[in-house]
Amino acid sequence: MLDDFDGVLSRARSGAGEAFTLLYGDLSKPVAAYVRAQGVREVEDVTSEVFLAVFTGLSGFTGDQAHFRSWVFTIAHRRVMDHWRRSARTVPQVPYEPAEDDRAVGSAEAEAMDVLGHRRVLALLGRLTGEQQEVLVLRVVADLTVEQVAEVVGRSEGAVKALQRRGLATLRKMIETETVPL
Amino acid sequence: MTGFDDYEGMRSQDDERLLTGHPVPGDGALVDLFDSLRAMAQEPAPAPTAELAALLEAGLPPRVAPVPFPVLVGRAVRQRASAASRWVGGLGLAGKVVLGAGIAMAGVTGAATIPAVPDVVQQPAHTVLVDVGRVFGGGVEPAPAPSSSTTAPHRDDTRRTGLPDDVAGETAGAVGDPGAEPTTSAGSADAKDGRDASRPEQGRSPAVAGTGSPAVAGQGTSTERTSSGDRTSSGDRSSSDQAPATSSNEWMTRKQDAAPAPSPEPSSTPSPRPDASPSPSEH
Repeated sequence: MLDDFDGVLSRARSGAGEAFTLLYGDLSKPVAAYVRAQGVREVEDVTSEVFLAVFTGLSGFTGDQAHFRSWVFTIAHRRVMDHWRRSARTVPQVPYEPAEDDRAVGSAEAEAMDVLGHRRVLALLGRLTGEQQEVLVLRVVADLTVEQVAEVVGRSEGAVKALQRRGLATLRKMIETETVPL
Repeated sequence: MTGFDDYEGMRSQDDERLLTGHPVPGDGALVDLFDSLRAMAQEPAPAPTAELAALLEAGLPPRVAPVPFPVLVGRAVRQRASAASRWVGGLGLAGKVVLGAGIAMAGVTGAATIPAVPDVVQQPAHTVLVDVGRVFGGGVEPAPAPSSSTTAPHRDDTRRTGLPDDVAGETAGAVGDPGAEPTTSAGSADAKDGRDASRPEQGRSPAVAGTGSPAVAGQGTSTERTSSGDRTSSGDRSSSDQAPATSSNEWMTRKQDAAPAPSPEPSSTPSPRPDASPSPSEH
């Protein structure tokens, strides 16, 4: 969260690069995590596309920091949808394999544990329906409220709550049956 | 409220706590799952693409706020444009040809006469105008275009006497120029020449020498330039016409001498300007 969000937004609207950097630093990690959790392999490209769209479309945004966050994730949601449409038209989809993803650099042990944990998380989330998965990821990774998620995915709050409840119930069942520690 | 509703309400509260990162008893595995998911958002962000990196580095140029035009203005302009296009479309073939020729002629005339037009454009436009005028008007020359090369001596004369050229010609002797010819009036001197049938272009061109206005002197020097330009095309001018004048007084004087009997000999009348360059016929 930015302390002086209004000032940063004002400078970003006037095209200041340092304000873009602040906004990017604040939201690039959750956006990238959201994109990655949606199973997109080109995380770097899609994340950059999202922020390019954000920075060039700032004149159309009005609201506070919470609104800005949900606006950015709305753009991210649409970019992910576009990505899947493009992928469906061009090349066959390949499931995400974090072990084969050599773009992140870290210690070997931590990375192995992270990779295993992320693989497990993504594998469990991958067994949910697309809408359930998206709602849960937006709630947890993007730290959005039910109302904000409803805005992002274009559904009613009741529908989001129902998707969230069914998704959590499915996860509970999967964890209970598998009893595999994360 | 039934027991099912109570259960649903509690479940909803637990879900909310779970999703916001609070511990929920009995859901340890799910809490770990969401902690791992939340940790993904703390991983280093991927490197931005080159385009985004450039944007982060340099920012965007400031936008120019769009000027709010009233909708009615744009609509009125569109209506006028469509009415004009309908009117043109309704013209016959001959009308369209005449309209096009008129527009082209207006463009060429404007390019030849507007002082703001650069010489590179003005010279060919003026040549075209002269040729067209000669074809359709029987030799009537249009008002020559002002040129920096020909107006330089004009300005010089004005600076010398503090008066426009014609007035300077009248008062040159009074100012004290030893070489000045005590001409009474350039316009009156030219009026005599204007009646000379041997020089029809001068007689038909009162704007060149017959008006006596300050602009006439400058036009006279420009006419000389035009005449020199005509040498290559027609070559029917006398040598006195072809000599570039250095000032309006000299031009007028030479015209007076040359009008009765065109001769390549230079005028015996001394030039009002001692520093004036000699005509080519003197070499």
